[in-house]
Amino acid sequence: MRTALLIPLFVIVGIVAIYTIRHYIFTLNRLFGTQRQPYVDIGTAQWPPVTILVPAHNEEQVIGGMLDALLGSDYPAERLSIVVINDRSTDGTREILDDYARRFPGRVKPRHRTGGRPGKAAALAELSGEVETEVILVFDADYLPGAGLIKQLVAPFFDPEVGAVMGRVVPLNLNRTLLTRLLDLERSGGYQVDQQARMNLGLVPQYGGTVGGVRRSALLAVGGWRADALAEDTDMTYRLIVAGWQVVYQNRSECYEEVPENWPTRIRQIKRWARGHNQALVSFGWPLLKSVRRLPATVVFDGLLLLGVFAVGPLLLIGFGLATALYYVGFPIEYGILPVLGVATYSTLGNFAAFFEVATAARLDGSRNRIRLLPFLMFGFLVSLTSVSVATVTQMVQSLRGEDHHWEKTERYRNGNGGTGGRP
Amino acid sequence: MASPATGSAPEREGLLRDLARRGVRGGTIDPHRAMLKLPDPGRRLAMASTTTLIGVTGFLFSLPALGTAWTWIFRQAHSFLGLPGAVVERSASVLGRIHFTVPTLTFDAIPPDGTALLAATIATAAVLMLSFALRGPLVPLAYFVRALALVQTTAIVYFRFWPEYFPYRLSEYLVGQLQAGLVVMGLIPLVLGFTFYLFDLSLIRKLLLTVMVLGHLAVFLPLLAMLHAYLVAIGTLVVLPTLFLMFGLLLHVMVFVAFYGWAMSWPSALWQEPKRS
Amino acid sequence: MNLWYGLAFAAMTVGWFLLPLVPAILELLHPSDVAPLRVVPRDAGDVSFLARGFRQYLGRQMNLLPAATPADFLGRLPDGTHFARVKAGPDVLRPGEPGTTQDRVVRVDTPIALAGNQTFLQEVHATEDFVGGPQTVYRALLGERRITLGERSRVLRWVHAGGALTIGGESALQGRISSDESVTVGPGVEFDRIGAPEIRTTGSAAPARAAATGGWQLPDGARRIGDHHRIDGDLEIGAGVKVIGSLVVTGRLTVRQGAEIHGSVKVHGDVTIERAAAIRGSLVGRRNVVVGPAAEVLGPVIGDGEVSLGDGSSVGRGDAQTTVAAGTLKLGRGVAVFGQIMARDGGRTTN
Repeated sequence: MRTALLIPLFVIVGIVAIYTIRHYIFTLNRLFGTQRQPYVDIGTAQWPPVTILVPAHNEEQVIGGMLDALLGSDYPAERLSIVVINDRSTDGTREILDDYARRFPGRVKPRHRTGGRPGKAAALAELSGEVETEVILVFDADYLPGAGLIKQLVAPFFDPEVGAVMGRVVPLNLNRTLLTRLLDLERSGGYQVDQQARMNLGLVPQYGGTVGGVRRSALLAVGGWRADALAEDTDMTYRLIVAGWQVVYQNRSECYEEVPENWPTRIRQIKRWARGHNQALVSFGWPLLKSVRRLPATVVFDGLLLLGVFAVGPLLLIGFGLATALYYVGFPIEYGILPVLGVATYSTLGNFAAFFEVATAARLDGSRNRIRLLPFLMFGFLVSLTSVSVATVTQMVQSLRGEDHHWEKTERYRNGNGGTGGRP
Repeated sequence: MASPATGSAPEREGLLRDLARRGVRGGTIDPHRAMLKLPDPGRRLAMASTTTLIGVTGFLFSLPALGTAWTWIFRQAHSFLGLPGAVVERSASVLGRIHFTVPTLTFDAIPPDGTALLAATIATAAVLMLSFALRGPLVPLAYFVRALALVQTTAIVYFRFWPEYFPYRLSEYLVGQLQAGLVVMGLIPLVLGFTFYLFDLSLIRKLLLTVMVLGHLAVFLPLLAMLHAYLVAIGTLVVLPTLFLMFGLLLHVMVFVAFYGWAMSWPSALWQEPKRS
Repeated sequence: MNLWYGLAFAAMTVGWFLLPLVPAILELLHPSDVAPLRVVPRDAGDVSFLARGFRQYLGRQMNLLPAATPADFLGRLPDGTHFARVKAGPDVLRPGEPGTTQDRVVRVDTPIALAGNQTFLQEVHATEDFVGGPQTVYRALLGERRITLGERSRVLRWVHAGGALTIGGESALQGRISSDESVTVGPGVEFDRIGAPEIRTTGSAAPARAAATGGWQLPDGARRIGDHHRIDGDLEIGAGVKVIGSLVVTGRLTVRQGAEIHGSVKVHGDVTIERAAAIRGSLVGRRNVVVGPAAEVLGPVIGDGEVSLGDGSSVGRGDAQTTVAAGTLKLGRGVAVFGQIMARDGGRTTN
């Protein structure tokens, strides 16, 4: 009985330990390694035509500000088209978009969807075959890109191997609640350390579906966006990697975003991410493993770990359940002190890796007192762990029943005024 | 201050180099945060390793004194709380070289009877109900409370059906808790070595943090153990699993993270705080 | 067992536990660090960004000077900055006297030629042609017309010229060097960033190269991925061969004399573009990049390691400006780069 509990427990501890070591390596690399941002210095070039896709559903509060920001870009205006995909909005989004299209003919092109599958992936999939420019950037409707950001995000596409590029998102509304402050810390860790370290080490930075873009020929080569993808960004990342393209991350290319301000919204968001990631794990786990002859082993290994990152949540809960059961049957003394030390080491060093990453990132960002909130991240982790596990179990049940997934949009908070159309 | 016009050649060169880093108003111009990293990794890692070694060694040699102090705390707490039994010392050693004692209590807690189980069940149900009232910003707390209720439920079920198989006695439990705490304390210089000593802070601050964390845990561990003993004494063994699983190692780690988060907010000697919007 | 004593003991233990959490709780209750990170809204990375900022600053300050301020003036700007304006009487700067140090912002409204060996610890703004003497140190220099820096000059922050900018040999240029027209860089010059429609190093330009005509076969094992071919391992493209399409090479790439690639190239190993070869697209190298004499690259050229542009080579065209971005950069004689040069760990022209 004890052995039956111990073996899976140590397998889980082993798997999680691999993630722990990965966190440490990433953080130490970000602290001491060469920071690879080879394309960010391209300030002058023959800039290619670019289409910016903005999926939008009931975005009347934010879409105007977003369009103003894009229209203020220093990218050559004649080479920049903004296509807002209005996905059956029921608020004033359509009217705002039509007004912008009238005032900026040829630059702002609304696309009103009234049918088909709802959701971002489906909206992008519908446009995949129609965009004619070689570079396609994607922004969510609540983002506020700076004037120089478009050039920065286009620059990596001068490298013919680059299939997708990702910039850094920076929370704007962090002063709202404890949650927004915790998400600000998490985002710092995720981008400033995690993504940049993967870029430095030539691993798999993730295309995040906003503040980024894809090469049209790469998109077409891998079959365009999948309408049924639950996380079209993760799906695209892996299809590109498996097909031999590179995804690059530019830490310098920053853009403001809104993060969820209340826990229910956050829980819905993370559940959606978990389902999307798990879907990608099922779809690309084996193809990625098979591509080990074509891709560097480190890329395949890191790609698998990235794919499994949301599966770790349920694993941890199972591990906790096993540890509880083992507690009741009594830990076998004959196993000696080493396993105890192993678990104790993991419990301290292991769990601490994520805190190290976040604190390092915030410190690199020049942040000070916000790092003091670090212990409260434990509560955030507990919510995430539970939500991810619930989402995974629900997804498995739905999959067995053959049920379809309902797409959920993240709530917006900004009180926009519909934008100014570029006027001061 | 030497002037570039009048100073010696090295002074002039130093001033010109400094001038190259300064903006119009004289403030230093740091690289963008996206490019920042720590210089001298070799020196830092060597320093961290050395400091870690000193920290771990120092901790190991302080174990006998720590054991004595913990026994004293146990005796004071035992007397204050009026717990049954007595405080005794158990011998322990590290690698057969450093010998020390760990205190524990001689009284044995009783398994729950029907009344205790009923009370625990009612309390657990009440806590669970309470969790549903925790909304808005208190949602994370609700999750924690539900986890608590879940663990306590396992204890109630266990003691309802298999009380005779419960493998722990309070005295062993206390020794185990303190020894696990010692493992955590021993690891702290190591963890700090490679997650904190690397940063651009003075040696004094690094040592200060180490001493603060170890000092805090040195007091907290016996207090927590005695609180557990008291709660088991009044609540029977049915509360022990929850105390072990939810209020043991987790609290030690939280103490450490709290100190670490505070220390990481201390000002950097390497780069300035960037301007905010 | 006394319940109150138990509660008191529990309160003490919880209090002790919460002690290290006090900074976190205080920050939670009284937030002191809740401003979002400052995302630079405009592209401050532009090579002439600092010069434009200074021009605006000085313009604002000079507008605030009393109308009666003389053309030749030694005093302070309205914000208290020490200031000198030179128009009719250049003696204010004692230009003929070597070894002087100016710790003031200087505005020169007349064509001027300095004797050299001077140090300008603050910005200089020249509205007419400006000729600096040898061994002169400038913190920053903005010239609305032509600027000529003497040999062994040193720039600490930036230089921008509205007209042609000429850099004397053996100079050391830290920061951003730019011109709206052209920059000519003498031999043995160290630099970080240069931007201009035309950047040249001294020396004669290469003669026009002959077009490549030879056919080329993809090597065995090459795979088509989207719009490019991927070649695993090393690749050599023979002399005079013409390649149509973009390439990704996981090993080393050698493009022999006179060959042409009509597409972009990404190489994971070292790259050597030999004499008079041409890349009609971008050239990206994960390691070192050698562009041989008289070779041409349309650009951009991106190298993680050292990039070397040989004598008479060119990157970009007058009508197709581009960027050379490298870890370290070596420029031979007669090199032409149209657009921008960025050497993260420093660059140098051949002696």
